Amino acid sequence: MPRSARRFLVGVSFFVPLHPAEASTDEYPGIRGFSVRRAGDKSALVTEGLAADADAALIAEARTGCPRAFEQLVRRHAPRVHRQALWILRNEADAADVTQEALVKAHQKLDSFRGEAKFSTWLQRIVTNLALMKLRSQRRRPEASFEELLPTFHEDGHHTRSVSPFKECADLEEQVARRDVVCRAIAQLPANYQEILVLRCVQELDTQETADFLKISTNAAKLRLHRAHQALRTLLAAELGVDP
Amino acid sequence: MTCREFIEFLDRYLGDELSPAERAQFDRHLGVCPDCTNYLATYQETVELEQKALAPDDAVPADVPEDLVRAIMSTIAQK
Repeated sequence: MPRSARRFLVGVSFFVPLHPAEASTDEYPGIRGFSVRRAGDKSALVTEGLAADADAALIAEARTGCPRAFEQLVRRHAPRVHRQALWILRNEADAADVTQEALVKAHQKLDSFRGEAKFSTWLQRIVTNLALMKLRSQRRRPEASFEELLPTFHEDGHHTRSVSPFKECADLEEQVARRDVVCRAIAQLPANYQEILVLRCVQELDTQETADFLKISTNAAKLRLHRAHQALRTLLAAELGVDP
Repeated sequence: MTCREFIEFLDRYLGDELSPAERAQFDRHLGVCPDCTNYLATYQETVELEQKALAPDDAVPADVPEDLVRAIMSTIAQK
């Protein structure tokens, strides 16, 4: 992650989840009894290596046409794939469809997996692509009304409306409610703006990776992200009791 | 510097992508413009709220629903 992005995220904590493959009991012969990875565990790298070895063994067997081996891969990775789809789509039925589609596609393309990245990373890329495609296909706020969410200025360059701070968040209950407000606001953005938030916040891609993924310049990626933040700020301002 | 310019390049300011001279201009504008000061604070709060809303949580099921596994394996078998 570039320095600028790191600075941008100062104060934001990310929860690093257990990999479901490591958190669940593995039924495949020879790799039973994985230890669960915990934050700060020095054996995490070893465990990760074992998980990768287990994936490699299953992939090799699945490539020979063994359905049981691929089923084990599905059981190991489907929870994380499903969770990724659900974050992007925020709809259980769509997420289940995309999870299925992603794992079927992974099976079809298994020969093209070269092991340069982790299998879980490869799967995450597949499910993200499919979920974003589905997101784009859904009707969202048209671009014309999106412009209304951007700040406006007088001819002399000053704000047309005064800008107030957000209300203080009083307690945990209010924090939870505020999270719902934010999710609803994100869902109101046009798909390409939701997409860039997902790539940056969920996929944790840096600017260059985001630009490469979207096949746009880094400047265009920065501008789109900035506009997404501006529009989201306007939507939140309306919800959180300050300037609409 | 105008408010329009401040907002247009706000992401560069936050990303520490400005020269010291440009940064000083931004800081001077902040010193005299309460609207842009509030805009900066709410923009940063928006980014933090967005990160929290989209960040992973630990509600990951250890197992995937059996019917989903069956549906996936059945689709694969048909292809």
